[in-house]
Amino acid sequence: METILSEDRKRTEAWPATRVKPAPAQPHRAEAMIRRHWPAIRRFARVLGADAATADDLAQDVFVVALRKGVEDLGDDAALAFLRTTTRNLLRNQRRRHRPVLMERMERVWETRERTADLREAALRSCMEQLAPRSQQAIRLAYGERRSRDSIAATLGIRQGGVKSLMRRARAVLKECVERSLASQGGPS
Amino acid sequence: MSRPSFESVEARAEDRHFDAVIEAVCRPHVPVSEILDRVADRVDEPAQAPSSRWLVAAAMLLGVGVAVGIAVYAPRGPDVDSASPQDPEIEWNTFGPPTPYDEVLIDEPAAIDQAVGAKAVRLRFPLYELTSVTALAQTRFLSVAVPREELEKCVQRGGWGKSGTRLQWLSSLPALEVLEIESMPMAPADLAALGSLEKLSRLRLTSLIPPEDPDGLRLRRVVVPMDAAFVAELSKHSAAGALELGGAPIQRGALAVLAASSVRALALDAPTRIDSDALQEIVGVRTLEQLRLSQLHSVAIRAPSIRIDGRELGVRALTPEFLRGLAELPALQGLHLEHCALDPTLVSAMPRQLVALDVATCSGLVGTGFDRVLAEMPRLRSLGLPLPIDSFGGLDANPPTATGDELSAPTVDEARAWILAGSWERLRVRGTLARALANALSAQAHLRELEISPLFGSVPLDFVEALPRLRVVALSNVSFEPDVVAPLARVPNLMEVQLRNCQPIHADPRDILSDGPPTVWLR
Repeated sequence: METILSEDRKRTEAWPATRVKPAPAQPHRAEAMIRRHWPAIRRFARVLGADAATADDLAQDVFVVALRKGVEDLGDDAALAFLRTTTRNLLRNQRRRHRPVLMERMERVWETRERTADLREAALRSCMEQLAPRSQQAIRLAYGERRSRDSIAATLGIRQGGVKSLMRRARAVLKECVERSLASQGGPS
Repeated sequence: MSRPSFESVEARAEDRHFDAVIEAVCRPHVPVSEILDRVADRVDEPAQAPSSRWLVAAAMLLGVGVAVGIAVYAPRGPDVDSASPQDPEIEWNTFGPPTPYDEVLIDEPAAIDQAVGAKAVRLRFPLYELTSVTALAQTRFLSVAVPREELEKCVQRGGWGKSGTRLQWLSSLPALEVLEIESMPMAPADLAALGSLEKLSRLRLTSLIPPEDPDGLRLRRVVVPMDAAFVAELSKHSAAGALELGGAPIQRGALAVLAASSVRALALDAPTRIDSDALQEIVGVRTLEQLRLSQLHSVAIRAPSIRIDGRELGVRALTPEFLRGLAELPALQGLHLEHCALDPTLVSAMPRQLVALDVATCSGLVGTGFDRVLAEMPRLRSLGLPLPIDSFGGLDANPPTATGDELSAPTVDEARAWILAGSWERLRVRGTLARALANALSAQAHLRELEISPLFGSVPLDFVEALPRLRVVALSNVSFEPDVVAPLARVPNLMEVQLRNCQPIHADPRDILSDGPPTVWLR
């Protein structure tokens, strides 16, 4: 039963200091770190409950902290661990309260999903092409342009409720298609 | 309080991960160099020095002081324009619904293969009767509840498993997060097996049977008492932060053991006996965040003690001193009293630091000044309330009232005052929804989750259209006409409708709500 508290303590200790460090001395390493870890950290923030806009801002904040600390000079695993801890702490700091156990459970989901994240993304690109044009457009408007349901309804010329149904169905089709694609490649669902 | 609410943390996390993948595919590509430029620009900005952090902290304290002042002196009530505390991850009720997964019910050991791959499994025979539990390797939720006839068959088969081995199979279930064991022979030595469940977050043990008493076993007359030794063994081996105990006497000294644990949510369900001294020990569990006391018959009895044939059946455990003691628990946020009889002294002693309070099935709130007490709980965001019972229209099979005037349901005016006593994000109401109450609910602009039970005899749910932030509506134990729930299809941001033990009349609710929220759950 000590686990919860001690984990929490560990997180507190891992809170990054606010020591100021000059701009990255190794810009190519910084770029490599961003290229390699930005998508995963953004997904991590989303899994922990951040909405799309917050995840974007948070990812940026995380890499600002990382570059100040010179994390780009660390090894790949250490850098990812730092980025992950910083994301968790920044997100926790934004919230009035948090539940370490819940976060741990969400992190486990992220860890599992990240193993196949690239495959999922590739599969999704292919699955998107198989969607009916109107569904595809609705998904792109909602997820790509963050348009409101009202706006999508106006663009597609359907009722707001129709957009909701359309999105729900399209999302379900995509999910099933991605899982099928992963299964056919022998990957975990 | 705990997310939720109604969906599992994992399911929501998986959904959000999928959303993030869709976003990555659909959004315009941003070159890494551009991201690096944006990040690098900010790297040169000075970070807060320690001294400035103190200034910020002081400013925040000042702000908090002003906010508290406003909260205390400003008239309370819904205010759409004010900032509302929003936390999408809040889990309103750790005990919540048992599982979001499709459950597989297994009646006999030979059928265990049907559970392969299932995330939620209910076994109706003792776990130790299985020869292999590989079928349960992916199971996250496991409930073992043995019916009486099965118990008798077990007696006839001549064994209850050896002490210390009855739960040994748990070590082969690494994914287990929730474990419920009911009416199973159990000795404290068996609890050691819980130590292998690293992911266990919730543990429920009810009506356990002492294996050394075959007659008691057969008749289910005798249960394992929750004494200090039992709870100590439990604390030693279980990693679960949420603990539910019930169907047994809870002896003095048992709950005191939990003071040394880090249990964060505790539920006592229908203990056959507990006295106020034993209950008072909860006040020592400093890590406690949530407390649920359910069907404490002794709590509902106002006499000091009840004796039949010289045997003490129960004493009045719930006291103002106990409730005042809860106010001293630094982490306590949620209090759920189920089927309890309250009175003015108990109501006025309620801890004021609560974020969630549920008294929806309690009686005795009438004339206690409950609305004033609610107004003194500045952090309260989740509330469970009894409503009036319309004895002509609302035919609740199990109304929250009992005999006696003090246990009567509230009037419409009283219930309305309670609803309007604050701005709620989650409301659970139980009773008949009169028009005046529906109007009061429609003023709750910050409401995100609404649970109503029962609805029969209530007004249509058209008021929910005025609730811009409403995301989840749960209806329990109701029969309804299509026009009662049809307004749910028109709520702009509604994500989920839950229908639990509901009996739709004339139409499938999924058809009625086909253009409505993305998720409609029937349970």
